[in-house]
Amino acid sequence: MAYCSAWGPTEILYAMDMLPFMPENYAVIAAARQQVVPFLEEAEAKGVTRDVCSYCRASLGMMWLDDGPYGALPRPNLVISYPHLCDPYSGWWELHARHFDAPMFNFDGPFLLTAQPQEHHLDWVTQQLKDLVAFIEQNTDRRFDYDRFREVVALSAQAKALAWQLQEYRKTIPSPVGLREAVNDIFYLSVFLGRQEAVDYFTLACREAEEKIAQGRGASDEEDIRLFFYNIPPWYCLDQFINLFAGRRAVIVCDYYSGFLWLGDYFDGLELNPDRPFESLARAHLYFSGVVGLDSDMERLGRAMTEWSCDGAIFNICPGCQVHSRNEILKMKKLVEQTGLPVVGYEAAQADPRTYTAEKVSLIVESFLDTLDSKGSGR
Amino acid sequence: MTWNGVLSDLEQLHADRHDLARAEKQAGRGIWGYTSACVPQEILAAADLRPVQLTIDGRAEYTEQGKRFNPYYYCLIAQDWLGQIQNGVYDYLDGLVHADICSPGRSIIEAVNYLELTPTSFALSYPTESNTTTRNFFVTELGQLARFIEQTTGRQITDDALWAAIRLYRERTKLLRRFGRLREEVGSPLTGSQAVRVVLAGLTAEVGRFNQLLTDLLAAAEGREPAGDGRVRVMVSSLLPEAAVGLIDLIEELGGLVAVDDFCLGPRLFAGEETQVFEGDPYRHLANEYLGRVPAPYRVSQEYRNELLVNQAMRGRVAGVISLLPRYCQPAILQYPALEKRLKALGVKTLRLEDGMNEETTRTRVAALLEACR
Repeated sequence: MAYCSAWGPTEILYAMDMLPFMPENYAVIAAARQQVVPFLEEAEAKGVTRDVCSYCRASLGMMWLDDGPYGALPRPNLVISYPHLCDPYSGWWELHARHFDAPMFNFDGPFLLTAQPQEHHLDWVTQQLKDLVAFIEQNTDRRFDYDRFREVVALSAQAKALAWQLQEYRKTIPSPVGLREAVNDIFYLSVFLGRQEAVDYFTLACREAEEKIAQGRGASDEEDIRLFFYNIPPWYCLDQFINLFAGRRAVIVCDYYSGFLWLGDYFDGLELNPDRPFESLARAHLYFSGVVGLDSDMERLGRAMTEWSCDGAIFNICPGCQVHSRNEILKMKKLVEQTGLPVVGYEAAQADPRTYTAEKVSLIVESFLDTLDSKGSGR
Repeated sequence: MTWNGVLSDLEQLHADRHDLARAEKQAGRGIWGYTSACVPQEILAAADLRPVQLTIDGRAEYTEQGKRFNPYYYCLIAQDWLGQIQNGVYDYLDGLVHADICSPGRSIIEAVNYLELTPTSFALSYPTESNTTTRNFFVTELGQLARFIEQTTGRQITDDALWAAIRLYRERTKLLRRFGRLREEVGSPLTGSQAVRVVLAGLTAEVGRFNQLLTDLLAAAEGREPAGDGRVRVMVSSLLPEAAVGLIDLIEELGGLVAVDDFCLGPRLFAGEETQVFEGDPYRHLANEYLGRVPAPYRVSQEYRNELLVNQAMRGRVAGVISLLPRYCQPAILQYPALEKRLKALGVKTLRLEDGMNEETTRTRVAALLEACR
């Protein structure tokens, strides 16, 4: 078993018969099951202040309390850290590695002002994937099989293509997929890429979406207002949050998290190529929104608003998440200038329910939807 | 030059940093900003450009303006620098080079690039580890930076010019190491308040001028009386010298002596072996020197950085360590509990502060720590 972040690369782990364990996903589960607060408090008591990412605090709290929503964290054989993807990752993963006395691999990468990696960027990430294989072989009894790896990447490519198709279906009016379904799909995009389960899941999800489109049904009973959602949603009250929109016939038809964060390569017209598995995975890695700059993010935002026919956008100001909140205030302002459409922000950490004030968020969303109504944005 | 005269010149160099840079620009020199010690300034110098480190100003108007870019939970550096740049404080810059070490840093370079707040900018990817894969990458990345500068400025960066710049900057490293050793000695003539101002000058002054003044200061130190006899020796751990000036002055006002610090410039330049050989591929030489050795919390392991800090505290024979953590700097926050545990095990008293804390609270807590150390 390897601890890794939701960024994987699961394809390499599955190809080598390793199980990925993602502490941040476990934090999401703890939050969704309303069990996260004691873990957050444990981390805070140990000096990890509330300024730190709520996933990180929850995960460390679970480790120190030797507990979790489905039991204590498992002991890993190795830990894969991602120092370039997120601010707390390097320290957070190092603390896990030390606690469990497991060897750690730093999977690093460049930051690009635009999503246009040069050859040496690609070479670096490609070589690191190969170094990771060598690291796993050195630290476990697992051996790498290139043909098996290609098969796994082929499965990943199938699943991602289907997941992207699902995003394309969201362009339909009414959209067959809303935020609830889209962000739940991320579980399969993060945990199961490279396995048949992901292909089966997205095949079913696409079929369901096609049926809805054929019947003219949407994710919500009524869809008058189409919205874009930016940043990570509040996992501990996802239904409550989404119902704020559904009750006003508003549907979130495109979102940063399930769209161009996890599927940034597909969003930009690329796809995985199982015949060049290392290079292809490396390229996908370089299109995650976390490692590309504002020029690309603004271009993607503009495209999302236009192609998914959004009437406005809602941004979560997500305390503790610096990687996805980079220049978020500027992005909101520029998006208004770029599209002429209204944009609003509210504040809530993704896995810390103590930061979510239901009345306040409700008021913000209601006022925003009132504005859209008064502008005659509805269909 | 006299001891006080050199110290005063160094302090003035920092105070006049913007005017001096503007004057050099008017005289026809290209001025390029850089964002951290991870940027190899030698490459800029090899193109006869004047590198200037961006520094915190601290005025509320700048941090407020910075919040027009990032939400409030970004560190003081990001808010302050973006505010200053937006306000034209750095209007003399011809370019900006940023080494990728954290999200707040990324927010600066991407905003500068997107809004064209400086005429040109370069985001330098900076690997965490030093191994064959990362060094090979970084050699190419540094070459890309050099080609970018050449294309932008029309100046050629020859290997000879780059070696000359490396020698000049290693001279600064050597002098700063001597300065660091002088500080750590019991009976050193330097106070912490004086030392931090020397470090600040080193961030922004023209390197040749700085080297000369530091040479003069070290010469003037001989035979001088100890600065801190009978005072409680403490270490200040703070990423940002600018943010710690007030704290260091306060500690010394309350009867302490800040004998050691870990400012970006300090340990980053003091760490590692001294360069002995100046030949071969200068880009590979820089890659070997920079990777894995600059102890920015985001880019090295907690173990490496904590080891460095504990060793510094031990060498400085301090009774207490005061850590001024930059608020919202997650790698620094995550690192701190293990550091505190190690220091306490060694019998060193610790105090954790955050930037932006109330002045009176800080005064009371510092006074209590000094009292506990006596």
